[in-house]
Amino acid sequence: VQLVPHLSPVDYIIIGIYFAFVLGIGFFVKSKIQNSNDFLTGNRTVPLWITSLAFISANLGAQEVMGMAASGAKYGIMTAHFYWLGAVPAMIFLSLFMMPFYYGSRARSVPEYLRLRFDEKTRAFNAVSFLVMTLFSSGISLYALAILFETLLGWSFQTSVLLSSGIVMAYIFLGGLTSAIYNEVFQFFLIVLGISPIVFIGIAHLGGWAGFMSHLPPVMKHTWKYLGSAESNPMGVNWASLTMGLGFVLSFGYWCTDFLIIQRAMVARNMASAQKTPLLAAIPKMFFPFIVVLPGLIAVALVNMDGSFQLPLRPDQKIDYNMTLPTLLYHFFPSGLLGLGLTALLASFMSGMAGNVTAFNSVWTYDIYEAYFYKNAPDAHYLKVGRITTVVGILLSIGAAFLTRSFDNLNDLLQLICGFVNAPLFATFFLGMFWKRTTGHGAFWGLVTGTLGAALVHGASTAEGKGGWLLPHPWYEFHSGMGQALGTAIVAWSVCFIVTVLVSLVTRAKPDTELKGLVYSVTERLVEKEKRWYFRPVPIAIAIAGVALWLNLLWF
Amino acid sequence: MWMQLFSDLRFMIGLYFGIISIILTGIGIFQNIPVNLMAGAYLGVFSASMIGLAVWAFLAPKPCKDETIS
Repeated sequence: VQLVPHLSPVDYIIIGIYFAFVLGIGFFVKSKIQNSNDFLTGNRTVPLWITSLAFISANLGAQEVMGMAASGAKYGIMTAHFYWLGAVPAMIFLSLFMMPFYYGSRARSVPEYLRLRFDEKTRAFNAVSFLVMTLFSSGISLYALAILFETLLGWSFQTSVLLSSGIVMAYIFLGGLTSAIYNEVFQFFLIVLGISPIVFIGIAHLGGWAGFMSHLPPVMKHTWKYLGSAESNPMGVNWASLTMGLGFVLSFGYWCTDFLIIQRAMVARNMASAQKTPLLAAIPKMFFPFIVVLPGLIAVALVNMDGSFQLPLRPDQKIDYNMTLPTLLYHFFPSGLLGLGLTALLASFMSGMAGNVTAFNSVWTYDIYEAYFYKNAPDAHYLKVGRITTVVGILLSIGAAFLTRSFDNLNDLLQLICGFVNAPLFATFFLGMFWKRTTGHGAFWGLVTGTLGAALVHGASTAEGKGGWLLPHPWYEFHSGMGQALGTAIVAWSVCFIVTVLVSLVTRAKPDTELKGLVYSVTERLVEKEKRWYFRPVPIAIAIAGVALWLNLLWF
Repeated sequence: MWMQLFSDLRFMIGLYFGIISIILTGIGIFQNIPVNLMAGAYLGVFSASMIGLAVWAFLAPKPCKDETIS
């Protein structure tokens, strides 16, 4: 099965209108940008409903949208664990326990919080690793977009890269973080409304819900039932490693420490809004599997139904799961709706890229440039640096996209490094916020050894032909790449946690007076000003946790 | 008035989906493609609700205007 570009003029018109609107939003926000705070931090003026939708939209890059459909086709509804187990609990924890420190400390970035809580070297370690990851992540996203549009639209690699990155650059250059956030909300609706018709049309084509379910193998219809052992499910993991690795280490590492995500809550108008941002974001997040995972299951059911639908093959004749969503779009969407569906994919790429670039801007300007190159400059200077950084960040992303094209395994390498860095980082934050004895030396060496521990596990084990680069004969073979990723993350987190505690115990801690607003035990509890109990964070969190639990039981 | 409405994100979103709704409904009617017609109607309802919210905020007293870009 090959996808042959067959777009009509109306599809191109729909894509063109989208470009005009994202630039239009940038233009309207431009008049509000007067200083570096407006440009780099949104000056804490963004309304709650916008920060909440931007919070999930920044995570809704195309790798997420297309990747979850691909995982749905490969693993079934078990993929929903990335939402109900791997996102919602972490978002609730971020809201109730960590956001008061991020927002209340007045830090402008996550690395800056690390400087306030620990020391300069911990901030520098985090800032540099974050900048490198962000840049490559943005470049790889751009590369994936160009490959997709080369396949779907017949556009050249260069045209796709330059057009999409040029538009992202224009709207961030005009309106900075606020423009990126407003566009993320627009892109959120576009992704939801552009992709959701595939679910209705696909299920109708399969003869309704009962017909859809009847064409799926039992293992694809359950989230927990087949997790007794790693051999009994396609994901190759058991319930214990999934709960600890995904449900705790990886999800908390990502949702509670990744500045790209947290930045969206930090632009809220006040503490109450900042706290509610992850909670309100968790509500649509819980239901996202029905938009992004179900298409993968629909593809499997269609293949099983009568063989009239097939997924494309890779050159090595294996199924190319990544093309699940585009194949469904081409199969079911007529001209017009196809333009909207492709615009949704384009929006998801641009949303992910803009998120990376704006986070890159803030960390570079505040945590590297201001800290190490030019302190106490006039504000206009930092605004100028922020704008220049937008252009440089986009150019470096384009460079990373071309680099990815030259090296097949660069994407794998980046995913690996992200896992190495994010997993131990949660141990650092957890101890830093909840144990006042944690020291800067402890945090720094915990991060370094946690990262090295992750590298050691990955280098000494194999899964699906990956890893095992450290020893001639790997000491352990995982059942799947997913199992290896979870195992590596668990070790990284544990090593970081233990080393941080041990080093902290033999080094001098900061006095309590310097830790106010940064550590739980020495900070005064927030006084709840909301009079209506059902609008307070705790009742909302309990309701969300209840619904997430119900979804797990429904698909048990 | 129009500038103030254009600076409300909900109005912009409603306007975009309104245009797309008209295009899809038009194709659905003139080329007899029911899927486009249904999608056009579904986007039309969404568009109308977003524009309605923006206009309501514009007409309402201050607190609701918090939702505008400005």
